[in-house]
Amino acid sequence: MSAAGPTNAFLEVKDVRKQYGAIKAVDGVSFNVGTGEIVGVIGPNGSGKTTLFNSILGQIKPTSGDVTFCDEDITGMSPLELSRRGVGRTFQTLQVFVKLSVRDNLIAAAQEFKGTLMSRLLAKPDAGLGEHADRMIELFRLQHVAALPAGSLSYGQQKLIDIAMAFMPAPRLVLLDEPCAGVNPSLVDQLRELLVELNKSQGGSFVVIEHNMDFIMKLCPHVICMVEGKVLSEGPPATVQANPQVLEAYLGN
Amino acid sequence: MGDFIQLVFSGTATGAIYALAALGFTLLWQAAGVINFAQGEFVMLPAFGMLFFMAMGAPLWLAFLLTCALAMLVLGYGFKRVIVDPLIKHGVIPLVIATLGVSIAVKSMVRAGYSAEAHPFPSPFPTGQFALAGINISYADVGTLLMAGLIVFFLQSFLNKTVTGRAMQAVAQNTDAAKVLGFDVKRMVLYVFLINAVLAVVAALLVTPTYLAKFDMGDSIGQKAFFAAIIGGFNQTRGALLGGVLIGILENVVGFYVSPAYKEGVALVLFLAVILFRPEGLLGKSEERKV
Amino acid sequence: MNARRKTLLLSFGLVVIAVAALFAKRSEVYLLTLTCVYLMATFGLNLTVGYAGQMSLGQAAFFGIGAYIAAIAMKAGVPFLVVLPIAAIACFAVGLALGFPALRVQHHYLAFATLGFNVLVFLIMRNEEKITGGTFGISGIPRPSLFGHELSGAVPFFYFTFVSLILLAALVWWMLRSPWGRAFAALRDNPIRAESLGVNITAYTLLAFAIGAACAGIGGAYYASLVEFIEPGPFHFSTSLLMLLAVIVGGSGRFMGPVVGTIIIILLPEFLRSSNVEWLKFMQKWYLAFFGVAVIALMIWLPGGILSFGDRFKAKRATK
Repeated sequence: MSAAGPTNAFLEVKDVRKQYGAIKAVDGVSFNVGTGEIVGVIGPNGSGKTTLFNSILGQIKPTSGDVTFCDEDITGMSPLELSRRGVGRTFQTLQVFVKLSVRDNLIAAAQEFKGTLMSRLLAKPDAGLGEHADRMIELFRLQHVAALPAGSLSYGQQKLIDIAMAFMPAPRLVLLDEPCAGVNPSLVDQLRELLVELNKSQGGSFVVIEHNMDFIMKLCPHVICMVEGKVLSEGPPATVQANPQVLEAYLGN
Repeated sequence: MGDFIQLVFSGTATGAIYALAALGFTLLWQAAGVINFAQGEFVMLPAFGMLFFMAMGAPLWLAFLLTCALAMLVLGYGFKRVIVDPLIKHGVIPLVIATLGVSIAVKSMVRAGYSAEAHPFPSPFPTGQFALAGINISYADVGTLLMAGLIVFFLQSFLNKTVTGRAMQAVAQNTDAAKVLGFDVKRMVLYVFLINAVLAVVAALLVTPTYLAKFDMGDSIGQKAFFAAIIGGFNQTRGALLGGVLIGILENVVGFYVSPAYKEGVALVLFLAVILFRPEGLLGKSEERKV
Repeated sequence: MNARRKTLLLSFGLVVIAVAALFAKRSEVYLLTLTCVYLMATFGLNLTVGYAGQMSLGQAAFFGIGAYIAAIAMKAGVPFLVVLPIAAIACFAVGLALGFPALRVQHHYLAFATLGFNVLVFLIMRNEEKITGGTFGISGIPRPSLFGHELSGAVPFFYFTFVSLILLAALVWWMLRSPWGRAFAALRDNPIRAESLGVNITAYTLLAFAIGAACAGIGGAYYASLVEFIEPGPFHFSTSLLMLLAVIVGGSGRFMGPVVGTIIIILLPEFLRSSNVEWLKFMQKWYLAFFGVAVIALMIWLPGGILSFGDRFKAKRATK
């Protein structure tokens, strides 16, 4: 039973482990996420955060453990199956469709959830998502580059597109892997505000990996600290930050 | 029964030749991510190379050595520097296309620039057969098996017992990890290209006496090498050996007991069966879902 | 050049070709028709290779299947306009059957499966004499009849094929403009991200492959009617390679890419061969050698194909 975790668990991660030979990348991690909650995951490099994400999100199969989402066992489900259940993610490295325009990137992110394969063939070119995409473009302040190919934009802009794409299908659960990495400090606050806004308007739950402490502490009411594949500390940001073991884990490296 | 053993034996010898070409092909894929669609031409060129040196007066063994050196330079180092290095960063497809271009270019250059005819090629082994326990065995088959066997043995020893060889295996299995661990990946990969070139020359030496040197002789060999590599398991070097030998033996057996017309189809049928039912190959390991 | 200008230029080009056919020699019209026929196959291949990012080494097999279906059916009296959908559907179905097990594994296995498939189909065409006529092939294939008139003349058949090609290209264009086109582009650009956004990459890859196969089947039907005699030769694996190279050289994933590439592999060698200039005739022997070298050079300097040159040029201008 975790220290201050939510009781109406939307996402339940139970004792997930991922082993590569003798290396225990994820060594028995359990936590819960409630509906509409924002949970932060921090920890030094190599502590297993991204491996944990990949294990939950079907990119790799966990060695053992269960992941339950809305009372359904989603352990080991493929990314495709997960997307159908309203689970989305962003990646540590930029993953946009470089040759498509920004607008097309956003439409592509949500079009597969509309209708059937055949109905999409016969639909309008924008799959009826034009307005939705435009609103998202406005929210992310990308109007002036909306028609340009995503690959031609700056890193920060592509990062925004990357994140916007994850939210286009209004997912119920989003896992964000280091959304602030490589982003201009002036953009970080804007990003945080965007996430708060999306959390309010869409009502989804977020799990955010991040190294930017300020960002995490301001955004997430509940924080988990991972070290060497295990959960070291969990609770409100202030509590976790004050935990001497957490400080040592960061400084000791 | 005697027939059967004969067929198996000579099939193993032929298969050993396919195995050599398949081995180089697999090594290139594992270590350098190159699917070399010009592998057949890599065997055809040395055949003509050796003929050229012999026409200049060199005995076969000298022509062979000179061609090995030339092949290492052109088909090993040259191929790597000129074609593979500039293209590897663009992904698998441009490189495959480029090797297709090499295949087409080289074939036409030989055809237009040298000859469209088939040329005889001397066998490195004495002709004739001898009898052993009631079975006829040709010297050529024995010689082929010995030579191929020796080469494979040396190669495996090199790969498993020397520092460089083990480094090459590490690079082949996980190039990124090898880089991080400080292996000179570029040099290891170059060695693989050089090895492939030599394997091709040996294959040429062993196969051309039977099939004659012709600009399109690479088509059949290249295809069989490719099939053998996939049948055995593209991510396993031993697979190339098994695949080659299996094709050689089955071709002979089917050709004799069923019909010569179906001989050609053997490699193909095996290949299709493997692709459909055991895509990782007979000896291959099932690959984890690629992230 | 904006879209309007491009459309105008294209329409103008099409009209020029249509008119030129009236004044060209019979052999030239035949060549033009042959190019149109191969273009049907290479447009289809561009879908598989350029838009879905797969490598198909068996397009000539589907081309051949379409041709043999058309040959056998038309000689039995089935009208051409009935044969067409049969050939298309047959190739579509075979494409699905071939792609489905191959894609379950890993995506580069489709390339291997298509290679094996082509070799197999060629062997069957050569050996099953009762159905395909073996190496003797099938001769006396009739031309299609439209409103009671048989299109036996070179020019009428050319117009028929030309219009059909335009219709086929228009259909493909329409499909690519729909959300399917965006899904194909996503799958080609970044299959991992696409999958986590709900794009069923196996389904779309299969679709692109099967549609590409159907296009080749359609082209094959026109081919059989054009040449009036077919044998296995043109459907060998080496033709698949040439078609692949045509798509890549022109610019894979670009709509007009196959046009450039197909012109190079069909018209260029013919042009060299039938030329009156001696050294050009000599070049015909070396055409393939040069083509091979050109492919290598192209991959090194312009991996996006000839039509990607425009992008490079724009990029250079943008950085000035």
